Amino acid sequence: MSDMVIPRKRVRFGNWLPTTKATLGGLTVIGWGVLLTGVMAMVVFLVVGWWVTGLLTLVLALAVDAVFIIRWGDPTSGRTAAARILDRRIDAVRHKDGTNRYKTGLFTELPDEALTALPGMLAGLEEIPGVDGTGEEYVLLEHRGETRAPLLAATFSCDPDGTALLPQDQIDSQVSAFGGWIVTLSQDTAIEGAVIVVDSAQESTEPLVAKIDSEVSSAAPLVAQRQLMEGARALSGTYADVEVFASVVWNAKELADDVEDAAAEIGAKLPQHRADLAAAGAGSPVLTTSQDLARAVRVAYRPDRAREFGSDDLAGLTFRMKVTEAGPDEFDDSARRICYHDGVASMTAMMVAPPMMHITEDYLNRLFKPNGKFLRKRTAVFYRPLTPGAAVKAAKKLRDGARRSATAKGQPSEFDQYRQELAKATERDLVTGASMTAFAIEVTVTFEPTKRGIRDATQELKNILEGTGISYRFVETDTAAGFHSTLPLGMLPWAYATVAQTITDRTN
Amino acid sequence: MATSMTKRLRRTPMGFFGENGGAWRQVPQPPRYFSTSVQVCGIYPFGVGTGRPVDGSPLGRDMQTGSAICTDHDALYRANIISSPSAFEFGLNGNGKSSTAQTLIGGQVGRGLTPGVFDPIKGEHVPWIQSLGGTVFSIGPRATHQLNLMSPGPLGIAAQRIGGTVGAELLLLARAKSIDLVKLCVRINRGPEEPVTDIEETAIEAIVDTILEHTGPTEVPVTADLLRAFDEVSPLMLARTGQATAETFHSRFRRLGETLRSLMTGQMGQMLSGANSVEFNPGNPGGFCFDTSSIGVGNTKLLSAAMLSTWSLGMDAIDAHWELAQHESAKAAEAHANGEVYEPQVTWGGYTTMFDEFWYPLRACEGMVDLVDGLSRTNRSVGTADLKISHSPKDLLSLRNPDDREKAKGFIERSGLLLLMALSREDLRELAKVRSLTQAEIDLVAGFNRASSWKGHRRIKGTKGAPPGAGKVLLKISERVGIPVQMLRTPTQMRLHDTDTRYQQ
Repeated sequence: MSDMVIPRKRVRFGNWLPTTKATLGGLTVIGWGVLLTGVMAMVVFLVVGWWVTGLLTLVLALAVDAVFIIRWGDPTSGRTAAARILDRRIDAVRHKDGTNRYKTGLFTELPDEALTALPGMLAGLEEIPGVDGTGEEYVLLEHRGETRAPLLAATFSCDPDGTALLPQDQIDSQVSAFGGWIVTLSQDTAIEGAVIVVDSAQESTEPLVAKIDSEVSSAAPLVAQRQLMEGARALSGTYADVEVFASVVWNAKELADDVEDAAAEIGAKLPQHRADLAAAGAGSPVLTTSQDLARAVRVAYRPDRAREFGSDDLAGLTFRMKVTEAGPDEFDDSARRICYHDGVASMTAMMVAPPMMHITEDYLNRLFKPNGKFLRKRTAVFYRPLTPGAAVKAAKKLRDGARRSATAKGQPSEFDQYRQELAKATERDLVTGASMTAFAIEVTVTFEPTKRGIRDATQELKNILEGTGISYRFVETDTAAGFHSTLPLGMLPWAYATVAQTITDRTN
Repeated sequence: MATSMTKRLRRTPMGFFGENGGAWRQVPQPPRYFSTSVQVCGIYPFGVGTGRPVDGSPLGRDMQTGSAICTDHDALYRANIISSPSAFEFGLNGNGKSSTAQTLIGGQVGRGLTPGVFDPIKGEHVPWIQSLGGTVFSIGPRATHQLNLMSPGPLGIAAQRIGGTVGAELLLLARAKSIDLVKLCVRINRGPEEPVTDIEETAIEAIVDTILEHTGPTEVPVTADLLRAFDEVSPLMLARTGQATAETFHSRFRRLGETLRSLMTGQMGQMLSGANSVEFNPGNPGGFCFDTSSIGVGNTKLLSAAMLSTWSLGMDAIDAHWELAQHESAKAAEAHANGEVYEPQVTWGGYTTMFDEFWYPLRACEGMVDLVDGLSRTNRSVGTADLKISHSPKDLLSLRNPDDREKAKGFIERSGLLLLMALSREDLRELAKVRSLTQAEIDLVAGFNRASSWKGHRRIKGTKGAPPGAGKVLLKISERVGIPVQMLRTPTQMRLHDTDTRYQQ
């Protein structure tokens, strides 16, 4: 009998549509409106003889379009000049104020109750502890904002087996269940978003060797003691440390009148999310405690703390730090792109466009798996679900935009036609029960703060992103905020967007 | 400039404003894309397996990620990952099954577990156990040790040391074990065609009890006493069997007498009635190894008797060790209560047993399946982690007797940890009927032994060679994806375990 197995056709994914408005000649409808208004005003002014005013009006209209409307670079993921100017301006102000450096500890000027607080907008993070149905403790993180309702984030720690040795039908079933979990995000209108963070490192086996040495029994025969210790030293130099965190973030006001009642509501919703994530191949998700998150954060600030914590575990020392007190010893994001913290350096890149081809579910594994070139790597995938009603409207808008772009030109390009097909496919998916979500990806890598470390890390990160077909750009300013967005704290970037960002980058 | 001690930074929604305050004025906004749930799930974040096990014996490296892997069935059981501390290892010849087992068990012994090795055919674990300071019993007609079916064995030794009620209970248990062993040997000697009748079993019990009644506290009865007791019929034997006189007894149990006489003659007789019988000293942390490799694999009856007896003795040794450790612990507690210090002479760190070449006894010995079945169901209660090693799942799944087949299937089903070395696809498909294996796992294990080419470098004399599948193992626990591991070997292990000597000359 032949052992040949006829390969099944793999399921492919790839209908991604930009959330930015459709353009014609680089201008949105508003952009065209501004331009046409400018032209008409100019005509009127010319007719009445106000030549200079007429010309100035046109220049003004062109300037508004150039600064606020046109996305320079990629038409869908490029940035407006206003957004770039705002970034530079804010960077300069932070530089002048000295707030692009953060120092914690007793001999700093931080208030006594916040000597080791998290930096920036996370300094106001609050913890709401809870106990789940099985008696296990967990914590909800309350993200407060000046202008918006408080957000409550619950984070699950997952332990997936991976798909390397799974049959394709089981993988497909898990991926489909993952899609099911994304649907549930849309069904709960109180959910503001979710983020999955894959935190990975190739750790040294040094602490593992120490752990094994500590387990050697003095009552064991000497040869067995020697064999065990030799075995520990014969292990490969590294072991993969991969932690996957899934955070779901709720808008407290959508759930109840006060935060406590909202937390109780969330407590009742968590078991379903746990079950859904488990079915999606996340292993056995466990709700994280403040200590779990504090540990992840402290390791992110300085990866070799993982070794220190491992030794503490061995010595029976309980890790008691709270996440809200897990700030870095120091954090410096005064340089462009690279931020320095607790003796190491990090940089963050964000996806500006997903792979253009249709991909299989394992295509982006390289993005998620541990990489020995970094001390640590965190890949965060953000989901901003749309309610079913909003999804239908968004799909219609996408279809109309794509059609407008295609029909406005005498000869629609392949790209225009492809975009129309994607919009149609999206509507078809919605009709068959799918939900719609906006998604974004950010990757933070940590490395040695040396010239070589920076060069190697930059090169490797570029390799990974280019190798996976992802268009990207590095976070060049506000790198501290970028770094913290990829921590498993349920920090949704859009929830922290300022009014100025909303106008200049038209992010919402 | 010295830092001011004045706390002048104030918390705002954007952080602490001021020098070194770290406030943010905005958060970078990553561009977002729309997609439906059926498309965006293709960006699948659970495709990469998370941390590999790092608790237990150091085994080697993950063949997929290069990560270090440390695990074993004892560690997995203690971490509540598997429900029974048992493991089953399968693999074709020459791929390092025994070495893999020694790596696994060696780690456990280093952590304080006592090894109990049943090495029926090759005797390849003998040097290792000797190096651990364990007791090696080489059993066979002309081997160093012989079997004594009438010895109270390790339970008797423990009973003497403990005394009191527990000692009396252990002696009763030792008596029952002796009776069982005699019955087993009688059954083996007669073969499956001639079963032992119920009244014959009663007679055997009466004979054993008669011998024990007439044995002084410092004496140890021997197997040959069975025949002597049969010839000199006691009132107890008559009463139990309902016979009036010695003549009627001999007449009624003529066939049993012949079997006992047959047991005492030839190679079987030599093995069961030698002067240097197996006597245990329970509590040795180096453990024990029963080596029956001097018996030819063709001598089924002899090997069966040896193996059944040694398995029974081995389990008795573990029970005896436990009872002694409990006794010593009680003495230490009593001394402590009286303000004295007593250092226990025997401590309990658990046992780890290894049944190498497991296929042989199952095929050769009637009754072995039941014996192991009982053991595999209770290995938690006797504190034993057990590892069984065989060539192929088919060894178990193709036994002649359908009942035995079902029971043997249960061994695989109940094994908490499976270690799969190079196997044929057919073997793996058979195994997949009992324990779930994915097609990718089957392909991987079947490919372990795939040579990279027809051409290779000829070995230099004196060096060890290794086939392509050497040391490659797929670790599998119930319903979880397996982890392929390239096993390590330590210098100590390599010095003590070499099955390739002839090829190196």
